[in-house]
Amino acid sequence: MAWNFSKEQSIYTQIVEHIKISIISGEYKLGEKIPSVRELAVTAAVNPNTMQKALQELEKMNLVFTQRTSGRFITEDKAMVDKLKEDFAKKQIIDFYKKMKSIGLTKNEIINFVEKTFGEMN
Amino acid sequence: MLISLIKYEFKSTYKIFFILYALVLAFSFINRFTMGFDISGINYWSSYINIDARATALFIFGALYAFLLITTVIMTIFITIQRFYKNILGDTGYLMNTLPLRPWMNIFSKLFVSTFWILLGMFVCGISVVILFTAGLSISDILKGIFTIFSEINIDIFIWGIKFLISTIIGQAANVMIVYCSISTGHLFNSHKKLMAFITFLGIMIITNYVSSTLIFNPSFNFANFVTGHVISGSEWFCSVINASILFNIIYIAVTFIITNYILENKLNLE
Amino acid sequence: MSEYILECGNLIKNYGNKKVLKGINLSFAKGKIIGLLGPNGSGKTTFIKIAAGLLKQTGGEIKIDNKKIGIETKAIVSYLPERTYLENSMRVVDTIKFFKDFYSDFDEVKALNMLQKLNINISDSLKTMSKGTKEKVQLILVMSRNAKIYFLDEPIAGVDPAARDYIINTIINNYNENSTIVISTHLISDIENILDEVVFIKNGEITLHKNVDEIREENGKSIDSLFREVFKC
Repeated sequence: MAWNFSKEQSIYTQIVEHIKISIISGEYKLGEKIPSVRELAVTAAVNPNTMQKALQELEKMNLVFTQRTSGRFITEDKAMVDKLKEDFAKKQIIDFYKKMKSIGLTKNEIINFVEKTFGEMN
Repeated sequence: MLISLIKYEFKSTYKIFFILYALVLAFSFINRFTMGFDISGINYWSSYINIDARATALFIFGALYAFLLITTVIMTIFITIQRFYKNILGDTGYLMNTLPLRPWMNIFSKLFVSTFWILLGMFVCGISVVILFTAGLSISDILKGIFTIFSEINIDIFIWGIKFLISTIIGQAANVMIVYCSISTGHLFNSHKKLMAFITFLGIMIITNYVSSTLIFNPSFNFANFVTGHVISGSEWFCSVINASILFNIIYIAVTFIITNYILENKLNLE
Repeated sequence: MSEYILECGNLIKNYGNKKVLKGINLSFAKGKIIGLLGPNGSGKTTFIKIAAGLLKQTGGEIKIDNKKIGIETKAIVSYLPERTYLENSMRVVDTIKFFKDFYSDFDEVKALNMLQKLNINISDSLKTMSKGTKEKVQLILVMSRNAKIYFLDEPIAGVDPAARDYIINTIINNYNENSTIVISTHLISDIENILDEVVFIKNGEITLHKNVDEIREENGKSIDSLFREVFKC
């Protein structure tokens, strides 16, 4: 199964996002060896050059590093990953808040609704 | 590369020919049998076998045999045409014409194999006819006959025999090349390719007939007279016919080959 | 040594009065997967046939690996046409032997592996196979060559979605940075994710040749959408 991409934006930035989220969520564990460019390209059903570009971008972001003989690995920097997780969550919350605000809810109302909905969810 | 092409050409064509040849030979033996002789030449039809049954068997198997001979001829012509037309100018042409080899190899490999089947077909039919006509003879009679023939051969007859063989080979090769050249010429046209190929073929055959009858076979204008500068005897004439045939067929092969090669190299336009 | 595997300048092809290619200028770099996109009759197949050596151009120049089109280029070009071009009477194992005999860059082991993964029995005759299976066999043979440039003419047209995924998979898997793969198709949305670059060809002329992500960023559209816009009837 290919990863889900929107074809309207550049694929390589979407790959970077996809892998970033996999790292933040713990799907890719810290220090884990990631598959080769070719294998990832096949899994994602994208061009290997595009995948390579994305991985290079992730290296620049220090999320991924290359050990010359053994391949590519996820970073072992837990603090950085935690910070990224926090940043991601924050962004989602801010976006969420903007949406809720646009239907006229105050911050307290939002919090109450969130708690109520969580109660119903379980 | 050329060897591989020839190999593949044989592989793609041998089955049908082997079956036909086997049937032809089988039926010539069957007919020998229905004519009342077995392989040793002994006539075993005794009087208690109904003459109507004999006649019927003779008729049926005779007709089947004739049918097989005709089928062999037609199949040989058909396959000669089809192998070139389909394999080089049809869908498979996308494969054959993108192989890393010059087009002449494609032409030559098919020419070689088609000519081979024609000659082999002639040989098999010849053998089969011999089997039939020696129906009254036993194996030892036949062997004695062959030995007698061979002992009569002197060097002149031998050379003549070789020339005749070469003339047949070159002649059939020329026929095949004329077919290929016609098909290739037809390919040049955007529509009615087969029709144009056929017209080209007729055109070439008309020219060939004209050349043969006026220059080669015409006893009054005689190429040999022309060449040797004197009136020649009957056997010399016969010899000169063969020489002239060989020469003209070589020219035919050369010209048609060059034309076909040019078309395949420069004017190929597969659908 | 040029970084371009294919270079053509002012390539012209006329059929009598009909102008099919009107001066094509293209350079394909090594190691790219390039989409050649255009409607039917735009000249895609004509261009590919010229590159593959099946057609002679009327004017202009085209070179593959800096050589003129001929037997040297045929040895490094692997072409998958849109039709069944194998002899129907052959068995799969015969076609493998055939490719092995004529192409020194043919990787028999790779071909056998791919056929096995698809459960294609190599002693089956082609005439007993469905069209889809025959096309897969042809694709496997073409991709099992270590050619310098591959031309795939409509490799996924008329093929079921599962087979389409397999074909796209095979193309990605086969990629290496020394070879270039040119895919000619009108089924763009299925294939645009694996392309490096696209070439738009319309009425025998190149209207665009660009990196795909650049196009997406500049236009905010998929290649498929852009194509539909550009080639609106």
